Amino acid sequence: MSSTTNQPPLLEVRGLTTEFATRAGAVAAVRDVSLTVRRSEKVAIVGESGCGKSTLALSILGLIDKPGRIASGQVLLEGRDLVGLSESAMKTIRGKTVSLIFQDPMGALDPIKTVGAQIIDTLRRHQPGLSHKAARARAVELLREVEVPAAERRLDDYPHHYSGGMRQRVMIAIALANAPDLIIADEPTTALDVTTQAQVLALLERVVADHGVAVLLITHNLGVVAEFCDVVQVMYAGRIVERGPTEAILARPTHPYTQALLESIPDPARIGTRLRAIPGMPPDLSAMPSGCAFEPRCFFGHGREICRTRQPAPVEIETTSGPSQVECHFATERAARASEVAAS
Amino acid sequence: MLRLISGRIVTSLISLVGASLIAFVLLRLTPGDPARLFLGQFAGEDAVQALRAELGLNGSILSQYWIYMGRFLSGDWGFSYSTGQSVAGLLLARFPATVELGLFAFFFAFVAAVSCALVSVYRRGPVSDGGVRALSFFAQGVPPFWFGLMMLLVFFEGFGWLPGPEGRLGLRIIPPPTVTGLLTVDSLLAGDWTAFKDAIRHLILPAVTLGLMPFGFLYRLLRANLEGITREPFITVARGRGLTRWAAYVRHALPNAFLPTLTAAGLLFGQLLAGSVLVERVFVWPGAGALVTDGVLKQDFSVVQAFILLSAFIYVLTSLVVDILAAMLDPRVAQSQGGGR
Repeated sequence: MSSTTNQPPLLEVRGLTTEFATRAGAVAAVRDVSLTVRRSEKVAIVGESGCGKSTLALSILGLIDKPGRIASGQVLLEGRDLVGLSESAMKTIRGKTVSLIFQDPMGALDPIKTVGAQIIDTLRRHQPGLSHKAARARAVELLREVEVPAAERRLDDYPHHYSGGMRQRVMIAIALANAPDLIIADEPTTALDVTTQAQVLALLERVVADHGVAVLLITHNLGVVAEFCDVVQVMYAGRIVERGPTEAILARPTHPYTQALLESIPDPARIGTRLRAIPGMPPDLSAMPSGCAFEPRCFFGHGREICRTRQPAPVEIETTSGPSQVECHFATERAARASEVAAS
Repeated sequence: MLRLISGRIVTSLISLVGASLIAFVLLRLTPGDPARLFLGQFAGEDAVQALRAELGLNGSILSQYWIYMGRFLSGDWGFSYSTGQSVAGLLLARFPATVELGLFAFFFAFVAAVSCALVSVYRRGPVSDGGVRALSFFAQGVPPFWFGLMMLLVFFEGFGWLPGPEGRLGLRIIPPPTVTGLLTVDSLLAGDWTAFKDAIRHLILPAVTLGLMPFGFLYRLLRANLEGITREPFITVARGRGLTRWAAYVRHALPNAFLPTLTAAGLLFGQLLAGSVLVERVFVWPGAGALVTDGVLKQDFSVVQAFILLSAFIYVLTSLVVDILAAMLDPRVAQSQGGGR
């Protein structure tokens, strides 16, 4: 890992489980998730749609509403547990220490308030002493920082005057407004076209570096992860099944799900070979298999007795770029095989 | 924005002309002869024919309409043969009472609907939400004249908290000098606190009774809109910026949910003015309702005609105000109507 290892963690999630009440009973969308984000660290959570990534992000910020609830676990921000804090306590943290960038730039801004009003509101909420005029000047600065052209004039425009990419820049400006320690970015580039994605990502990368902000990036795009993040957490059916340094995980995935996920991305090096899709669907969260959640779709463990019956425990694996953790019964065996292949 | 407003004013004028034309033609097509009614069944045919000619009833409908509108606009609203008074005098004495009652009923319905919708969406509990929903069904279904009587039984007969069916003011209160015709406004203008308080106390029961149905309607509309808007990403984002859930609902969800409700609210206000006849009867409210029902029964054309025109004017004026409000609240409307930024 990086040189930040010795610092106390900025965010530490311990054993977090988030449930939603349904007619069929409580369904856990996030199950016993633990993760750590250190200062200035960029951590990715990857997984396919519906695996619980967004629920995890909202749980950290205490934004889970009825019928959902955090059933157990802790969310420690600089050692202080946020679970169960009141709205009035959370409002001093949200937008100040931890900001949120949301996936859908089209719907993330209030359509009937000007962009400027929404930035200024964010500023003044956390800096009560700031005059309207000063806040306005600061808002212009922020829009300039995220490279919105003609910032001063565009401040008084409404969200529908902005393109998707421009709105996502505004979201980044709002996230940066009160100099947060952590930005949680939930699929920040998903709804954008490819060129805009690259621009927004480059911008995010730059401002994060400039301000030394830590980022928890939620995405299903492994290309974004490779470019951006120090650490990757792979999520499947509400659990983190593999975590470790980005290079190690992308180069030599140990969990069969991670491997399958990587093989389902087009890669110029494999031109001519068929893309491998993962068969089947993620499990129904209200009827989870009793063993490994990935077993029914797993090319490696499908049908094996132990995979069907026992939930795998996390296994520590040493990689060249640091330790990683894998929730697979065959983690050690697969890791050894992978390094043999790499060596030969 | 200016273009939007001027465009709306033009369409409003067109609607007014249309409404007056339809009302005029329909009234003239109803069976019955006003001249015969006025003179009684024993009058001779000659006298009736003479009166018809005098009243202009023998000309074509269009020419009658033309003459009528010309006089109407110059302030001559005709003559009510059932009461023997000028229509303008009759209506101007009574219409403000109806308008004042309508305004207060609408105010009550609106404030109650907004607060109930906010509370039931905010606290998703079965008690508050279910309770208010049941209340809204009751509100929409209950006959207003029955509810008015029950209100009188409880708050006048039972507790004696509020005045009984005695009209707009207590007997011993001296009415303030007429400026607008709305007693609450006139008493404030005159600085007469006693009259103001008395006028308000007299308004409470009829306004609640009249506002009950629109309350139920607005509540259900607003609640459904709010329910949808609170699931929008920008509500989560607003909370992520540091607003509490309540603040995000009030500042961001409510204005957005309010937009589609606005037009309906405007139409409701128009209906309140026309639909207050029964409530006015129960509370002995000296409004235009009784005057018009009598006018209809007695085929007193000029009263009904003037009332329809006045109502149409208020209806059109309300929609105009609603449209302008909507454009001011929603920047997307102003732009799509070619009003620019």
